[in-house]
Amino acid sequence: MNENQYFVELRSLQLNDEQRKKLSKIFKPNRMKNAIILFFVLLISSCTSSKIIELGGKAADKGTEVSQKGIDIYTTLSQQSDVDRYQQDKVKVLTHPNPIGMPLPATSPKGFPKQLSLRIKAFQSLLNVYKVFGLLTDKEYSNKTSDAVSALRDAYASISTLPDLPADVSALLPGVAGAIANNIQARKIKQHNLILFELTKAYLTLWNKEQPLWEDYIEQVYIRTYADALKGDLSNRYDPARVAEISKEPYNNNVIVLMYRLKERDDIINSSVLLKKQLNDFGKALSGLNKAHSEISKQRPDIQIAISTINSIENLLNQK
Amino acid sequence: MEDQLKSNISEAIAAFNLNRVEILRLAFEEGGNQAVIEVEKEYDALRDAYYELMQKQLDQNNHLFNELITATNNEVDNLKESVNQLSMVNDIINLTSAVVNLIGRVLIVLAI
Repeated sequence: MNENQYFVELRSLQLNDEQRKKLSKIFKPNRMKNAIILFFVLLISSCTSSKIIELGGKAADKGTEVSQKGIDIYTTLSQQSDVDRYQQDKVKVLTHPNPIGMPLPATSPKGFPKQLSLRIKAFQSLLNVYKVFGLLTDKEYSNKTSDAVSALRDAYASISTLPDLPADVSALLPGVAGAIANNIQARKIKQHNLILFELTKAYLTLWNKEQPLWEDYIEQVYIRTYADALKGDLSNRYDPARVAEISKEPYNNNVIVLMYRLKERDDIINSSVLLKKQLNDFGKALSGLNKAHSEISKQRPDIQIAISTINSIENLLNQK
Repeated sequence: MEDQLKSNISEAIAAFNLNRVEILRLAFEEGGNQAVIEVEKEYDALRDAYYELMQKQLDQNNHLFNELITATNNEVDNLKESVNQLSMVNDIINLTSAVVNLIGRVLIVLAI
């Protein structure tokens, strides 16, 4: 509505001077114009807010997955104690010069239960954070506000004794309320995203500090105390006929045991490589999560960078 | 210092295992089963030392993890508060609608 039309409509109302003066104060064309401008400003900022809410939601999803992966990684590390105990017993039997006369080996399990449970607890807390952050990034929140305001408007309109709301205002009300709700939600997501950035940075720093220790531990369990211990001359410990039964390789008895042992060694090395890769991928995923929070924290986040960072986390978590 | 010690122990463990079959054979020839048990005891002591050093290295970070858990749990509480605040806005609007509806009904009943 332009100014002239507005005044024509205002004049058409049968009002006395005082009423017209009051109404003019309330519905000044400038105010109307400002309201419309405000609506468009809200609409534009609502688009940015929607992006922040969407990115926050994706970060919450990935944060949940990365935290769960952290719990899984530490659980796997805690299981290495039993793996190690069994392997040490096996080595003791296989390398004993006179196994018939040896007592049953009983290696005492060595691990880090106290230390690992603390780390699992830390990642459990991080998982809880992301679960609640996920609730904060609910995309339906602004729609719920719009619906609530629509219901309020309808309730107001149903009371005939109350003055009618201007048609324009009435139509815009749910949208404006939704846009405001969007902005409030996006602002809260930004605030908490900044805290999550700092938190993931601390988790990442500690992980990076300890990753070499865990890699060395895996090297200790699989290579130094197992694969290396089985490198000696142990061929006489194997029955070629039994090996031939389980092996599909077309070798004669002179080499079939060696080929079997070769495969056994490669399997041990592969287990160690796989575990180290999991540690490495987890570190990269945690770093990606931190980077995603960093991008969302920026005044003008680059949506493409944030999305590609989040996607890279997905790839890392899905790799075996 | 600890890193160096742990590295030396690791090297000793690897060196023992690479020659394990030969070392145990020699021990058996020298002193029978008892000698093998003694050598393995020495080896287990080396393993124990490795694990104790690693535990110590991990323990040095325990207080940091405890601080992190506290900070993370605080953030869980703050996030819950924010989620409640957001929900509260909608709850207030819904409540207002209910009140307005109620006023409408009262007005109808009173025929105002």
